[in-house]
Amino acid sequence: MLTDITIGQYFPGDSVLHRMDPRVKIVLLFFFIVGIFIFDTRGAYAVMSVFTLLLMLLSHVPLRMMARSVKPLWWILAFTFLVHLCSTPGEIFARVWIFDFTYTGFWQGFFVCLRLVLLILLSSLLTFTTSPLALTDALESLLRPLKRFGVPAHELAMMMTIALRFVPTLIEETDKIIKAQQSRGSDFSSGNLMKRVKSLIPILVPLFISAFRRADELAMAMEARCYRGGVGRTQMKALQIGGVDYLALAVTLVFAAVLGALKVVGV
Amino acid sequence: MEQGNKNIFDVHSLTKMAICVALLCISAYISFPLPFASAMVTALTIAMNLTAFILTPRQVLVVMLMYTAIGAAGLPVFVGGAAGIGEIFGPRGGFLIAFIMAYPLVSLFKGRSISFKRYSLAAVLIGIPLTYIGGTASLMWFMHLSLMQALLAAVLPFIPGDVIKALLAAWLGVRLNKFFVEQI
Repeated sequence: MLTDITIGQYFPGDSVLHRMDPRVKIVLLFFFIVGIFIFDTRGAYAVMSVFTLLLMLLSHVPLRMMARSVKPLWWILAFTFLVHLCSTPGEIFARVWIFDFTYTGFWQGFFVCLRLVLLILLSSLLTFTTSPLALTDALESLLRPLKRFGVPAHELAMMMTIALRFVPTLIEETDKIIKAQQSRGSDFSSGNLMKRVKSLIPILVPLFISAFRRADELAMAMEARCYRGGVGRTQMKALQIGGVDYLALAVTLVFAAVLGALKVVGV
Repeated sequence: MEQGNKNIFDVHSLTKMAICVALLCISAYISFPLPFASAMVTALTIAMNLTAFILTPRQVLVVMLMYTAIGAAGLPVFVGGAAGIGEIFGPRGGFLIAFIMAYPLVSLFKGRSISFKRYSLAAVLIGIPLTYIGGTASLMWFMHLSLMQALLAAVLPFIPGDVIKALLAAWLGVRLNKFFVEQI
């Protein structure tokens, strides 16, 4: 179960999306997501689906990997679709036991699910094409204007980098602890709910203790290397907005104009 | 553990908060769905409660915001490997927003002394209800469900498990805090 974790599922590559500035990607993604909620007509959904598909092809990320990012949600999707299908009033086309299936329900469920799938695909495109380090750099840069209001942009970005760096380390640690406890005779994979929850104790206690010890050691190491926060710190790879980003901006504007037109026409 | 009131971003509390964020990210994966429900049973709430018991309220707030921000930026750290800003503006987003408000409050009400009674009361009476209110509201809003449907989907099947988990977290919190006091 733990080996499934692919935090920062970054897929290295050299596509147009990979070369874009991460800050531009984050901002544009935000606008797309707002767009998905504002433009909720059938025509708009068709345009957005095609657009998402084009972006996916453009990123050169294998479609199977994209599909895997939707997988964790199939339960909630199926549930939502069914609830809409059999609890929306309208013209009935089938009847199973006490449930009436309606056309209106079918389309409503379909579009609510489509919206979720689009949201997931678009946001996973961001992580597939942006390395976690570039992502934290971009967030620090985007947060910098807020510094005037007392938001510690550098510290937050540093925390984020440390957290992401330690996820694989702590997973390894958890794995070791589980094996160590098993070799002492613990049983994690049988019993009822209560028993299984109880079996978490011999994992969580050592995990938290060792994690906090690591945090202390890391802080000591940082102090020993004279870490003094973000003041006057420089970057090895400075972010730069280039031609690709202006192109992306232009495409987004055209896209927004098309969606706006569709909304006005009412398709 | 009560030292971080002057500057919660000094190096020691910075690394501590970062490690807690990492622990939250991992524990979100230890989860499985219940049949006929659209929320999940997850170890995340145990880790969140422990974070609330170990850190100060302000540190907890920073940790929760950071965890949500990492997920919103698109890294798959939410329950079951979900991610993206869409998740916050989605049917399960209410849980995430409720977490941000609930756990600093749990941390505030845990008190200064290390006591199982205080910890479990804070977790059960503050953490759980606030989380349910947020989750139910967002399910009703985004999935167009009625109050009863949303309660059936996201609250009622989970009450026993959540109470057990909160008590377990309180017990673990007492043990861990005692250990840290002895160490330092």
